[in-house]
Amino acid sequence: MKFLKERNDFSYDFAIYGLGFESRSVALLDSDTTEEAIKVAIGYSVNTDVLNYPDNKAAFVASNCKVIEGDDDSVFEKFESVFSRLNFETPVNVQLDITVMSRYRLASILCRLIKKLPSDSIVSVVYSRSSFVEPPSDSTPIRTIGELSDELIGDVGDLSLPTCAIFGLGYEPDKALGVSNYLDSNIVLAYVPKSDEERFETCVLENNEDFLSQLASTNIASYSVDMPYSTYVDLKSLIISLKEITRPILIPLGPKILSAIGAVIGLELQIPVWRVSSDHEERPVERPASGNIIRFDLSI
Amino acid sequence: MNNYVPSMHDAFNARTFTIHELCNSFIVSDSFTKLCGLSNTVMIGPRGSGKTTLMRMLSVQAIDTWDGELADYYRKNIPYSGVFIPTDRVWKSQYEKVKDRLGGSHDYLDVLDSLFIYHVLERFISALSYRASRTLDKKYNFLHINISKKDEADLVKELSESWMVNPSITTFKSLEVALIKKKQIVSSFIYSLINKRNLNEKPEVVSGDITDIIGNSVDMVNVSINDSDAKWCFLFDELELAPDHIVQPLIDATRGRSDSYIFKLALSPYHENVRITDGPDSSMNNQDFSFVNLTGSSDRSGLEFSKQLCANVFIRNELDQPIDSYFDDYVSSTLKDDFIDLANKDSAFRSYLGSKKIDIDKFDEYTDKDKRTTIRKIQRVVRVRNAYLKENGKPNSLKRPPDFYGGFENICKSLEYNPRMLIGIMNGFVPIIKENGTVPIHNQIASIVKFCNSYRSLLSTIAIDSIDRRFKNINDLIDCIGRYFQHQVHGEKFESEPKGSLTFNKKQSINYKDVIGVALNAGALISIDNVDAYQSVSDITNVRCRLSFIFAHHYRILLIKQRAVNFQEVLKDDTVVLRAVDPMVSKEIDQLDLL
Amino acid sequence: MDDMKVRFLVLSDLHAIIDEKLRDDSHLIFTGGSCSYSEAFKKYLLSLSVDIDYLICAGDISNKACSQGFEQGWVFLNQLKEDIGAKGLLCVPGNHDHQSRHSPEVFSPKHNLQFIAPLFPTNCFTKNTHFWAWNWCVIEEADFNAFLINSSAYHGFGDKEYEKGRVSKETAQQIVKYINSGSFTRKPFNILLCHHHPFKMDHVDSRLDIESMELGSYLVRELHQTRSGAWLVVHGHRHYADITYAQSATDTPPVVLSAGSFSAKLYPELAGRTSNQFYILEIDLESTEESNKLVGQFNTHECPYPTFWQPSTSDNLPAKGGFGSDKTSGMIANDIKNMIDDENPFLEVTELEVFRDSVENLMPQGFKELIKSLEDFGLSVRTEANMIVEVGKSNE
Repeated sequence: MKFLKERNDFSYDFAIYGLGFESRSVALLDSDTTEEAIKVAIGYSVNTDVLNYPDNKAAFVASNCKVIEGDDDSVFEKFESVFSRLNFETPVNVQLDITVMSRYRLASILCRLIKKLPSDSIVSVVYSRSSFVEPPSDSTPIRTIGELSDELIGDVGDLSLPTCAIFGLGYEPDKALGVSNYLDSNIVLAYVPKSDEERFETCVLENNEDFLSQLASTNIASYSVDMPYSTYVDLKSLIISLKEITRPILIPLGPKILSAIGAVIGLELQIPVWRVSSDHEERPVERPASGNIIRFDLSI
Repeated sequence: MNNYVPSMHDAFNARTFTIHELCNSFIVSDSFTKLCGLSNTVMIGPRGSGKTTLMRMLSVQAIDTWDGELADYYRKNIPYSGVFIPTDRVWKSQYEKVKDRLGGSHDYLDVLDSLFIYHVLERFISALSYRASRTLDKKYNFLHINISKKDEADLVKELSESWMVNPSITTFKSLEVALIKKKQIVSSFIYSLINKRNLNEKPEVVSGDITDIIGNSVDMVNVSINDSDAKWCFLFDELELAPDHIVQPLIDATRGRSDSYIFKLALSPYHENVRITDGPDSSMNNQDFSFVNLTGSSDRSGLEFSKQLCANVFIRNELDQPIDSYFDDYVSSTLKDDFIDLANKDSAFRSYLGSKKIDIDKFDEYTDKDKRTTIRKIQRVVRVRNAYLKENGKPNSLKRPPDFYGGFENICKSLEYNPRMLIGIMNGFVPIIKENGTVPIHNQIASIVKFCNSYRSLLSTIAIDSIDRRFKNINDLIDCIGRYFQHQVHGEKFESEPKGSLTFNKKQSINYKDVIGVALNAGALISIDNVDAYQSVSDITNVRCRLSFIFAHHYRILLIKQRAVNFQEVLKDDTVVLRAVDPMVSKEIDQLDLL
Repeated sequence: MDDMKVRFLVLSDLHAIIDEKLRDDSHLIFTGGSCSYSEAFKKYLLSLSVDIDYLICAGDISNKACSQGFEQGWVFLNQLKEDIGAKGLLCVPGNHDHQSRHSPEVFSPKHNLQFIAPLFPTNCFTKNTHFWAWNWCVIEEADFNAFLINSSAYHGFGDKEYEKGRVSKETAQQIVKYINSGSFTRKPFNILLCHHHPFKMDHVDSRLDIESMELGSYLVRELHQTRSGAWLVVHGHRHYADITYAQSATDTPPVVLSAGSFSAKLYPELAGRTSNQFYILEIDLESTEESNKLVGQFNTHECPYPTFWQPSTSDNLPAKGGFGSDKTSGMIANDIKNMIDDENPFLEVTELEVFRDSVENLMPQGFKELIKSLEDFGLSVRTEANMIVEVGKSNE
């Protein structure tokens, strides 16, 4: 598998979308490159009547998308049955829109694609960035910490080596602090997301102030949300070096594009990649598309 | 890391310090002296209390590296070779996940468990190799072993056969490398297994009861080095993070007495999966093992330790004056002034004085034979209550906590003499001292406030469940307790002995014991009483605890031990059920998991 | 400088940028004149407490001919020289420094380089004039002569000339003539500094190497045959670190350091095989002069994380290595083998001390060859930081 540096145009044979309550769910629906593709929209079993969910569903149906709804287990089963009908004798180009997918789903689907598609297939991971929306005001406690997907459990590793937790930060207050406290890792590194919407970064730094104050400045770096190749190269180089002397574990909070990149690296380097979820008392919130589309391509 | 610089909270973690750094910064405490004895020991303490530092210092490498007169004394009096065995939560989490994935497949569980066993053996060989080294420039040659190359080769052959490893050269160092490689092979095999990749042949691994393996290995070594009396001490740090079914045999082994090895086991205060005094085969306190409690140190010993620790931090930053001299003290009002002031503002206090027949106008005349004892008893309550009342008797919302929460001693006390926290806060004071010469009281208070807020944020991330959703995280629980104690001090009635500690009702304790345990492990609650005898926190009816003093200024309460109240009374609800949330237990995720 | 040693700090292929949009290309991003990558590097370098005598940079200071990027990179190098107290800065331009692709604003590939401040590539106007006119110049220092070559001199002229390096035969002969003239003073060793690799490096990735310096091998051969002292060749361009001996008909071949990139983002095929690195080279003057071949050691440091440096964990190049050993790996292996017998089944580090100098001055591949030779004798070896710490009969 290769993470491509250059951006080329592809036509896709298979397009996978997320069906959610945010209007961004359909931001990439009408594209020339997926005109001939078999389309699948993967939805949920809860919050299906809030905000834009019903309209989005109608839009997918109108675009000849097969809509699959349900909990994780049932949607993956249905997805497999559609996916397995593709012709794997020749390369298959797939577009995977992760915009409104949960991290677990985006990682699970991406890992499946990487493992099962024939050589020379292309997987384009696309993400429609949102406009700035205020972060939640209060920190919510950590309820679940687990692997990003079943394939990303990683090596158990050598207990004699110190642990190194690499956090991609998000703007939810104190989430990284909670996980870091729970893990009590020997070494902690943090990546701060940067983009042209500076308010996101400001919120990230403010809402992680306690966490960041614990780290030496050399343990904090930044990455550009809009430049996935660069982020991939940096993160991979780092982890290759760290594996010699530590047990690295990647916790990609914040922008989902980092979770997708983390999934790729986790598969390549066999390191654990974890996700974190908090108390689900949050109300569904609309996050409109900013118009920025982030994309990276993998050549299988 | 090569250029790591500690910052305010200081990611000080004893595991990352080199042996030299550890030895250079080590402060001897009573706990260390207790640990040096030739008995099995259980040590408990919350995060940052110094368990790992103490354990590491007992390793043979550390004892041999440590300089100074005190070090010489301990070298003469420590009768064993210490083998430090670390664990960590990340590893434990990975282990549990893999174990779940393997399901009930016993064929491979022995392979998985061997990872921990090999880890212990690797540490053992590392200690042996150090003792027997002909090439290391050892200053003190603590428990040095002279062994010929031939004998070394023979012993290595014997051990490697027993351990199913194959060192490339028959030396201790190569055996250590072979153990590391074995762990890698096992780890890769496990990974292939759970990812259903091409499987190599199942590796041959050492298996069985870990105490038997340790015992046999130690015996082999002692015979080879012609020292059948040699004692080895296995120092298990954070034992609750070792695989569960390996942990209990280690605990149970403390019941027996081996001639050649002992165990020192470090644990968090609450360790649900580890039974020490429960069960028919379990060890009995003071008969089979000694006990070291790192929580609730006495003020005297805690302060003494803190002074040395903090002085070391300052000396490293070229500040070598007596530590107290760097901290401005607060200007306190006199006791009489506090009494008069409060009497003028507070009718409840006046009623109290009246009930005790204390006349303010005769304040200076009272002696120990009459009212002075009472006055002394209530002075702290008076001071704190007075600080938060205005002249008209209405509550005074101060912009910052009163100065009497500051001062070097109170800072140390507020942080519970916790080494990790002390180092963090002292590092924060260094730039202030370099600029001003001392730390003014307002900076001290500001630091405690900042520390407390940061700590509360952290506690807010630890989830708990309650049926009525009244409590969502540990901070909610602490807040409930804190507000109760606050009301004790600042309520409508003047309490001469406000309640400030908790006890637990046997019948209802099952409804919240694991949550109390989490709070104890995090250091938000501090166990008091019975510091010298082990009490299982799994039965919390034995436990009496208070809020950490780090919250004292926040809830405007006292920095002393206070009388107890049943936790049920604090909750004000007999039906409350609280459960700790284990983040490692999987739950369904839906589209709200977007961030 | 130690009386008998001279130390160089070697960087190459900085690819300095000022535009965040080019973040895919380089870590060395200057924003408002400052850069966290270079700050972290300087802090780390100073923490090593090594006395550096000279700073070497093998070109590609900028990225895609960005003149502002070049300016920032060049200022950084000059400031670095001052910060470390080095006596001199030896530098050549790379292909990315020349504006070799045709565009309306560009009227000469080297115009910006000629007129930059501080002077480039040397601080001497006369030498620079010679450099731009004849594509080379020489700098004479106390212990060495340094020949700076512009291997990108012809970029912007011939068709697709920008794809490779070049030195002309005439340039090579001009240098040889200079060496054979009375103007040349022999020193213990000489440096040939160029951007492009004089020898093909087909082993770097899956592509055939078409970028090497045309007539590079001719140049090196001719220079070596002047018998004017030992030779050190330093180049960059491939971003793949390596150290080798050049092809030679003598037993004192030139040492060729292929410097990896200091700060360019490595493409995936390279990322697992090398890293962003810098080198500290230490030349043993006494041994070099005695043996007439370059003798010394190097240390490699890498940056796996934009604000964090450490001794290299990569094989290309490893944290420590050497060149110019007085013995071959075979000779050392035999000597070691002869010390092992039934009475003495293994050797430890103190017993191996006698071999230290010979082993430390082996090239990394030579060191691997030594290990292989020992294994062929039925011995097993344990190593740490380019030294054998234990060797003994293999356990069967």
